[in-house]
Amino acid sequence: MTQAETTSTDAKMRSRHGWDVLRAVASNRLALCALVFTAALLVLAFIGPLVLPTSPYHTDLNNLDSPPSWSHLFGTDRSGRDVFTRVVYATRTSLTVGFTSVAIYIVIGTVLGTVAGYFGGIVDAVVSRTVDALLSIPLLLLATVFVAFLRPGVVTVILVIGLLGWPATTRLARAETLSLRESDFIVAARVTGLTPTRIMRTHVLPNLVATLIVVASLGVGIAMLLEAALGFLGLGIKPPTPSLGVMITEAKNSLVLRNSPWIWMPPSAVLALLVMAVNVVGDALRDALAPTSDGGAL
Amino acid sequence: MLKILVRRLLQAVPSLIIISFIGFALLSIAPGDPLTARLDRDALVHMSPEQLQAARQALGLNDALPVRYWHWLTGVLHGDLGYSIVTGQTAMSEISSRAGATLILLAASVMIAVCVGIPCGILAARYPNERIDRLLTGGAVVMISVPTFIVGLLMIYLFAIRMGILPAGGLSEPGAPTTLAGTLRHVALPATVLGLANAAPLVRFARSGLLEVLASDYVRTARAKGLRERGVIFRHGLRNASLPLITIMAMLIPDLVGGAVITEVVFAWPGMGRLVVSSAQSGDPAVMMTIIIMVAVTVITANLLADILYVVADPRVRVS
Repeated sequence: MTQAETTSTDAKMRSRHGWDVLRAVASNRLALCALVFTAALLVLAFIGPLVLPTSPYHTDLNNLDSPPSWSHLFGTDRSGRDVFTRVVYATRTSLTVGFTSVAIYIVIGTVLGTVAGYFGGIVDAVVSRTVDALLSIPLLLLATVFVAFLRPGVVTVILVIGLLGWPATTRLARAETLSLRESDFIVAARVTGLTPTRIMRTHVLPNLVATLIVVASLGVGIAMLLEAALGFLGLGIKPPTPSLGVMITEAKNSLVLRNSPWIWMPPSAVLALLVMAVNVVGDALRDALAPTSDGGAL
Repeated sequence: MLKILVRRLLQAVPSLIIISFIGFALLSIAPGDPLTARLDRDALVHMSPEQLQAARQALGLNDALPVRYWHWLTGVLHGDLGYSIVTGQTAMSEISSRAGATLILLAASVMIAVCVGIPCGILAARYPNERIDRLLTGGAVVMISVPTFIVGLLMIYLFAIRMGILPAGGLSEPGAPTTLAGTLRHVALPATVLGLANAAPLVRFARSGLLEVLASDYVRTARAKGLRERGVIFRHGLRNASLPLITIMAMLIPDLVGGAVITEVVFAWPGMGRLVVSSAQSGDPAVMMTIIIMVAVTVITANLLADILYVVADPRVRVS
């Protein structure tokens, strides 16, 4: 990328803030729908558990594996648990894992990437080669083997994704810091005698925000997919904890797959639509903020 | 050019060393005694604590961490990747008996991904922002977002259960001899699922890459001199847009492998992906570590090859 291009995108990024970005996203009808859908699911997933009459663990022994009805909106699973209630709780699990694990790795990735990009040298070499190494192993595979040795549960999954997911963010933050480091206002800040920490915090970081928002929004989708995949593989979150991936696992039983679509289709549909909505919002944010990268798919 | 290649080659070395740290860390944090993988269970029961201690000493399990790492690393470099604690076989033999199935699946998936993804990307770039473009890029978002296992289950539900035209899983019918036609029938569904999932990013990259090239001056010149659109797209556009695609395809390998793990589980495909999941479920560190290292080395090599190919094919990289 040439210098001229960098400056023009920088200018574009700086001129578009807050409301401008929201307006740009909102002007994309599809993205607006996706945003509303995500918000609605967020509300449903976090308010639902407070108002729903049944517990996700309550087994209705008179209604095992029964199709949707008025008393059980999405039917019941083979243990007689209400599928709708479980989907609501599972969505909450998905969203919690998605947002918290991404929050963890965005912080790690930003710090490592900024420090590596700013200081260069041996620090940069160590960080960059570690990033290369970790990115050469599919995150799902890495998460699979680490989850295997830890106590299964929501917190474990959050920590594993959060502590292993940072390399892509690091690479982006580093690249952006590298190009920022030579820009006039950073050189000026250095000349006035500001400490590197101060420069990174007050001058580099604000310029990374646009990129980080895009990385984070696309990362939430990936993290939710990972959580579901781990649950589906029988690792990470274990039954009876409601998780979309764990619920979909029921369909590995061909009888359920064939005869009881209400058990596996609702969680599948919610997971697919939720990830799609998050990705559409992420894509729209990327278009609105126009950072230079491809958003850093993991 | 040689300098670039050598520098790139040297960059891979530290990454490989870090991979070895990860592999060794995995073995070290694994609960359970490595002794159980090395000695016969019946013999272990009858050994006295002193004998056990001696056995550990003999296997070097009591050495300091750096010493153990060094022993382990030299072992790995000589092809000794340890033993499965479940079967007692070497990790290598566990894996090699399943590598074939995975390779069949991967080859078929890559073929589908390339044959679907790149033409769709070209088509989308040919008519930017028109209905066909929106349809294809929208389809790509859907395929990126919907998890592989859901697509897989839907495929099984539709094609194997409802229509009954394709087998739901496995590499061959139980008991039946392996034939080419049988294998193709069995690989069709899993390869389609994995192939389409990986076609989606290719659509996006091919589209954006081609669009970028089509906006350049020499394409405008080609159009100005009256070249037909087909000539512009294929002769001038695609030729220049195809180079970055090499790098992107190498970058997609980790996703492909990650997707293969899930696809194999969904379709009961007897490959390495299912092996890694079952060894994770039973906590079999040597097998997991071996697969991790194999995947990482493959990916690093592929990236290296892509970069080398790039340097060879694109003179501009050599100059700058």
